[in-house]
Amino acid sequence: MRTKKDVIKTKTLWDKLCNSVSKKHNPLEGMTKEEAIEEIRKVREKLWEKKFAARR
Amino acid sequence: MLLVVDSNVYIFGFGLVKIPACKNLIYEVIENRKLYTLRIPRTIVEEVRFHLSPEDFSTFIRVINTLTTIDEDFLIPFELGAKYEARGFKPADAFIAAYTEWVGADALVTENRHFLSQNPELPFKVLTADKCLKLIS
Repeated sequence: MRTKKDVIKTKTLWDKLCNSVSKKHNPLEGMTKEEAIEEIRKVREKLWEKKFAARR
Repeated sequence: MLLVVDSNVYIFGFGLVKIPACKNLIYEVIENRKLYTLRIPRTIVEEVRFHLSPEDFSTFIRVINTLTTIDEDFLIPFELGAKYEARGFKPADAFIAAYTEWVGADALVTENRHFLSQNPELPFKVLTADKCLKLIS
């Protein structure tokens, strides 16, 4: 059972993450939403190929 | 409501590309944990990892661990993924669709237009973060 305290803790962690991410190099900087989605899809395909290769 | 949130929604939610609906959806899931059940496979976790520093990834895992547990990919029957590949999905997208069906999710939340346009007859809804927020609020 999650308490109000748990919710606050999770929100604080999420905010900390967003704040930290905003201060670092952004690999998707300058991209439109569609361009970023394509970039994320490329990573997905790459990781998936690696996963399959490891199982062969 | 059982939701599978795709990696792009988390990544946009961090603000790597600012899509307010993605951030707001994550907040909604955190704040109303009783109303929503979140499920996540290892593949999505790995995709998110690729875009974060090790330290930030560790924080992401702490967030996820407060919301749900990570499902290992090998649990999902191969045949289910093959079914989606036969319907024209790319292998990795087919896996996400298979996973969403396997957990019995009500919706896959994604900004990926390939999912959105690919198939109208899925056993789950495919929603953008914005549409999901409108549906649940």
